[in-house]
Amino acid sequence: MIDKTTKYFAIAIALSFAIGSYFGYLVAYTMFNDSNEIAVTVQTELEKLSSKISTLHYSTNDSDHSKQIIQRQDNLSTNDTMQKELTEVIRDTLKAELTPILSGFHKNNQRIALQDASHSEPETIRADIESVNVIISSAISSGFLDDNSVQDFNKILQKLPKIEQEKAYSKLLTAINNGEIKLDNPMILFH
Amino acid sequence: MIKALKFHKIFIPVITLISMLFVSSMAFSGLTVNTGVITSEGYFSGSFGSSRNSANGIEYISCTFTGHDNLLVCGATDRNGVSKYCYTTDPDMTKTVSSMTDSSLVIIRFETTYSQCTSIRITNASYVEPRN
Repeated sequence: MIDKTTKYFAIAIALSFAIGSYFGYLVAYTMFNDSNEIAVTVQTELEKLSSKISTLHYSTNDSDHSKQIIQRQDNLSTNDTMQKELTEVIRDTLKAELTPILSGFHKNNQRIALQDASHSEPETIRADIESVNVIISSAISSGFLDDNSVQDFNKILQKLPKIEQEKAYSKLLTAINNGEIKLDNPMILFH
Repeated sequence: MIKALKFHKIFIPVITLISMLFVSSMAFSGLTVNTGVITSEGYFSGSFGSSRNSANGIEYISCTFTGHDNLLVCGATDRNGVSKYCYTTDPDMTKTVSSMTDSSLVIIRFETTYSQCTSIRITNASYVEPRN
């Protein structure tokens, strides 16, 4: 059997333990909350610091970037110089190669221009082309090309530039080949 | 009877001689081809001799070269009156006409859209009928 003293003693110990635990809990709770606040404060400060560090980092990077830009500009300047030199070399080479060819073309163009000019002036040429077309059209309409028209055709053709002569021949001959025009005297056509 | 014998003596040798002359002339004449003018779509041909010697008075074939413009025009009309012409400024083709003779057979092809000659063939051969 347990005596009363032991019983009271046990109850006292239990109560002491319970009260102590409660106070311990309160202390611990208070401490926890304080540390949490401190942690929050520290975190806030850390974030501020991080932001400052980041800003500082970026400004450092900008500086590097600027350096890189300057370096690239230098490189581009170098490239530009090389490109200019290369362009000059290509230009000189092409000039040396093409000058005789262009000279030949120029002379040929002059010759053609002189040849064309020797035939007729542009206004006259247009009029002559029109006359030739009228002769051919009339012949197609009537189905017949008489000697006089052939002689006119040949006379006008002599005054035309070569390319226009070919066009006129092409029109007339194709009409004859298609049976659209009969010649009065075929032998007179090209003589 | 005697008259008949005399006739045979004269007639038979004469006939024999004529036959021999005919046969020998056949043997020496060689191959002859009438190459009158033929026309079709994008084509005409003929020899100067055959067309010149033809009795119809219609057919002919000709080529005219204008040196100043380096222009060659060829044409032909067949016995039915169908005419075909083409022209060219191609130096190789214009050179070809320099080999033409009175006895040449000319074969020409052309494209029909612009009537430009595409080929000119000249044949100078013994079988081509010459101009009389």
